[in-house]
Amino acid sequence: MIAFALLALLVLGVPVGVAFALLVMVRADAWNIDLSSLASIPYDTVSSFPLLAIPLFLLGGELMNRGGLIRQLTAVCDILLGWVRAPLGHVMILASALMGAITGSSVATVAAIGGTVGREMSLRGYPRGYTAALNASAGLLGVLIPPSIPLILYGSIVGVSITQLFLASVMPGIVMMVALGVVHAWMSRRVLPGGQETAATAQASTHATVDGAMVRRSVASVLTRSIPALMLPVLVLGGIYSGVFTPTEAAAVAALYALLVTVLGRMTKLTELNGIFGRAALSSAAILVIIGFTSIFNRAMVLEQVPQSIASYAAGFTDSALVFLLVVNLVLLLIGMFMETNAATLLMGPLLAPAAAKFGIDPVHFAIILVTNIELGLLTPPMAANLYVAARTNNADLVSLLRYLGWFLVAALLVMAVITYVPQLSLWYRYF
Amino acid sequence: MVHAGRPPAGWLDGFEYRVFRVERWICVLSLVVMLLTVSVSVAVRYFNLGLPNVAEWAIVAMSPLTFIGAAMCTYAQSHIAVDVVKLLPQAGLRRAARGAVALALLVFAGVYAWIGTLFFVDMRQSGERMLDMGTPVYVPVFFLMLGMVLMLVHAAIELWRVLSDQPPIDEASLT
Repeated sequence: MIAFALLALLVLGVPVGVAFALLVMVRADAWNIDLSSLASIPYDTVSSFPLLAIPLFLLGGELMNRGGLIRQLTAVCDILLGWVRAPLGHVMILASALMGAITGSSVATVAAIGGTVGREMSLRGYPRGYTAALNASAGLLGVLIPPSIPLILYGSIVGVSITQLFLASVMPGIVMMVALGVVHAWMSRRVLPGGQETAATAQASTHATVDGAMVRRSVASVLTRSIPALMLPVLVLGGIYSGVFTPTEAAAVAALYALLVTVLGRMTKLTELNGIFGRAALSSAAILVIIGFTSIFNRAMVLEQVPQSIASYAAGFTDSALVFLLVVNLVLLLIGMFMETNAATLLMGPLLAPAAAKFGIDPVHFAIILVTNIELGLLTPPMAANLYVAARTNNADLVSLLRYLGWFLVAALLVMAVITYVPQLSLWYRYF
Repeated sequence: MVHAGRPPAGWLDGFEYRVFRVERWICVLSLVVMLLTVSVSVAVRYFNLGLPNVAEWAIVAMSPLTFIGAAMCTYAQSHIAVDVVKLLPQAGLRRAARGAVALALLVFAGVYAWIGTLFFVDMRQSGERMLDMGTPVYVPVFFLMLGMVLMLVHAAIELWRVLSDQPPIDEASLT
């Protein structure tokens, strides 16, 4: 009944965050929730320092895009991946992995890459829905490539070494990159006109069209022009790994750097900044509304002890470790569809980790299974933040996005199966 | 660009557009506050300047960006939603769905304006303050209340537009 009501609201076109909140309002009495307490939940959720990364990365992305920094970065990626067919999709995957290494957050990665590389993909002939589907899927790397906010949460609450968790997530992250790259290589033949990207924007291309003739620019020239853009990841990654600032602070530093380079380099007019900030504010607000108001539904599920009941069922179902893992996979997929990633990790980690230990499953391996599994929920509606953010930042409608999502989801599920049943993939670092 | 040209014709549309401009200005200011305060806090820590943690204001700024932003998204029709109904060929069904959405937003914003006001009064009376800079908690909570009131206004005007068979605000016309 609840699922039907939610579906009806969503299909009608009620905003996602509002639909979840309305459902809880209507059922507040049945779920023993005091209606007056509902105001503090979204307020508490958004009053969070780590969440600042989302608007700040969106602002940085907008500045980098309008200021031409992304075109410069894309030009460099063209040099690196230009020999591959349909290179910009691979650039999006690689860039998402790099952003994952900066933000530790899937949603922030989708927002930053969608607002930058996604726009360039549209210019090169990719359908917006396809760009958004790839953007959302590649966003999974935001968590798999360390640092990872959910892994930090899991390590803290279950008592597993976070350093080991970061090491363990590297190989699954690489496998996920390869899997998404294979799907893109195959899909690009179908979605691109003639299977090839159309002409790149002038600054982005290592090939410029002059009087109809293709003239190859010197690689050195492109690299020289791209120095300000190339300094950005160095600044952010260097700052984080040297301990000068946190990933959230990196978002502010990146935006400030992009602002200074853009304004001082006269890449944009001061009068255009108003519009840049306005667009970033509108996109940020649309995403924060979902995060804030869906947290009410998370709270209701916890109060109803729904995750606890599911965990208890999963643990008591079988004596076989393999069957247990399969049930865990299915349960976490289900949980991920209805709960936010960090909340689900904090809740399900302590509930399932003891049962996994009883079955002899390594705690580090189980952490990677759990976090990756819950992370897949970001691609599975109704609570699929990556999809919503990717649709928003790529100006695609959800229906066209879902049309292209299937194969990327299948690839992610296959990688999930490999992570689950090949523990060596996560425990690789112990062999050295 | 979200800063847009002239206000639309008609006093109600013009009024709503001006409200939107104020909301947009508040949200842009919130972004600027976040950018500056977080950057300053990095500098303060790196150079060991012994100043308090001004990043607290960035957290405060999340409230106007989210809740005033929710009202702004309601006007600009830029909330994230499943857009399947918009693809229907029947204009009547599309209009009915648009009316249902406006009604849902009206109920949601009405309830939240009410409980947001209770929350604001509660925080005002408790005198609770944040840890680093001592910012009163009622300041960010005020934006929750205000944002929901503004959302209520936009939802009511949108419902009136549906009932009088006027087209919705097109986000593209604002950008």
